[in-house]
Amino acid sequence: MRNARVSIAIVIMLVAAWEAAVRDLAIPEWKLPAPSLVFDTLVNDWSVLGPAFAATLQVTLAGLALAIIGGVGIGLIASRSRLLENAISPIAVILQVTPLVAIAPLLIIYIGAQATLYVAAFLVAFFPMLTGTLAGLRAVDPALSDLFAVYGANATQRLWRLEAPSALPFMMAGLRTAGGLALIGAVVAEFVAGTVGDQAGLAYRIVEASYRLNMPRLFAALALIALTGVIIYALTGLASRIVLARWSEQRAMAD
Amino acid sequence: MAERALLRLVRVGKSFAERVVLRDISFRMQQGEILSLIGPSGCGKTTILRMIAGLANPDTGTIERNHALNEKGRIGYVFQDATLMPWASAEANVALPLILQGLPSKEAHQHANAMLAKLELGDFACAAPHELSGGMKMRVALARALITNPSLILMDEPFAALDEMTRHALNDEMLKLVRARGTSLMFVTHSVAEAAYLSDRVAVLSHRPGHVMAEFKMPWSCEQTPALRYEKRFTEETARISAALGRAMDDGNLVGAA
Repeated sequence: MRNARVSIAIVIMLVAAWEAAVRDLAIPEWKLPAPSLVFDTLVNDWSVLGPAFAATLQVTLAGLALAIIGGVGIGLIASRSRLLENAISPIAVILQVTPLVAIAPLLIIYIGAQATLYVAAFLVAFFPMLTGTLAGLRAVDPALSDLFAVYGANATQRLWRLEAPSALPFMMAGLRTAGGLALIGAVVAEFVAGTVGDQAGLAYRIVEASYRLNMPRLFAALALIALTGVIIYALTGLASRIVLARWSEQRAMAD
Repeated sequence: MAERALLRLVRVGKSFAERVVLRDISFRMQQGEILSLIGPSGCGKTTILRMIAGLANPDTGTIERNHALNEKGRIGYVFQDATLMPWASAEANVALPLILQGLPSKEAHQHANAMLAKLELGDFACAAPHELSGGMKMRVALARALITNPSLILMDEPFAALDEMTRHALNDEMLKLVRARGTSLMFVTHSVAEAAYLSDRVAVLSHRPGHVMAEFKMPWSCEQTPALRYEKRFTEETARISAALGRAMDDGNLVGAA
């Protein structure tokens, strides 16, 4: 808790310094708007920014959810045999190493702008979930593995009572990475896809504001993206702490 | 006599890659017997336990197990480390073998709780492994090995990492529990005193490739008390075993030099 207080104090001090600097140096708002103006804009333009925030959050969370299901599911399947793992891994690696910005235009042509957003958020978040799951399932303590063998555990018992619990810390680490990446995927795809209408997200509003040199709104949208990131970071962190409450090392790390 | 044999190893050999680890290991174990294996590092003691537990197969020779050992859970195993599931409570760790046998979870946990109480860990049933001391973790591992009421427990230097006081206390508790149940025990250790104190019989293994060099029958079967450790006959027996162990070590050095 004490650390949290320090972090909040630092953020408040930085914002206050920013505000003071803009006022004292009389920086024009089209160069750098003051935090107070950004906040006012956020409130006044909420009819535009609110739906954009909701749209980006929805794409990010949906992409993340798909990545969790897909990454854990395919990780489980791939871990059942080396052959399957070898078959899946090149595809996963190619998807991972090709920059998303380069794939997005193709996706837009094939599946349309709207679907591209979800697929983009999914694609970047999928890989850490897959590797986390696979690494975790392979990280079983060999002595515990022997113990299960001595007591004649069948494949199902091994999976649920040994492999899944062993893999959880790795999967949670994957989730924390995937959460941040899903947001990046959603934002990058919005930049490329540039969806308009109801589903325009925060990134689209940023591009729009930059064309109009509407700096206060650009900053307001940016602040919302940062907030989305912080929310996802906090949620995945909380999930990880709850799920891993029994794991000694993680508990020690959280303290 | 023959039908009481629990286990018989006949000229068992095992190699890993090109390295012969065990050669012509033969011995038998009676029901209720406590046998210690002692020998130089790397002479294949752990491999013997693993083969008996079915975790590895011999390359040559045979391991004949009494039918009493063929069911799930008839052999207990205690590893060098406590080997507890870090995500599970002490009770859940002890209940595991029963659950793997298909016992309902609630029942398994009741048995586990009772077993922990026998090992003076009743208050720690809900504790996570990282909350327990080294000696307590080993007690949990012991409770887990006893929970299925096995005919044979294999122990691989289980108390090596503990301090002497804790080790002595655990030796006595374990003896009491296995004697009361007539459980056989095969005990691998580096400590001559521990082997002598616990065992009905001590087998000294040679340097790799390991084979049984000498066997000693302990004259105090079933009457161990802490005072025994300070008796003259105890010192004499440990001296005999130590001498044989010394020869086993020298043997290895000679082979190494040649």
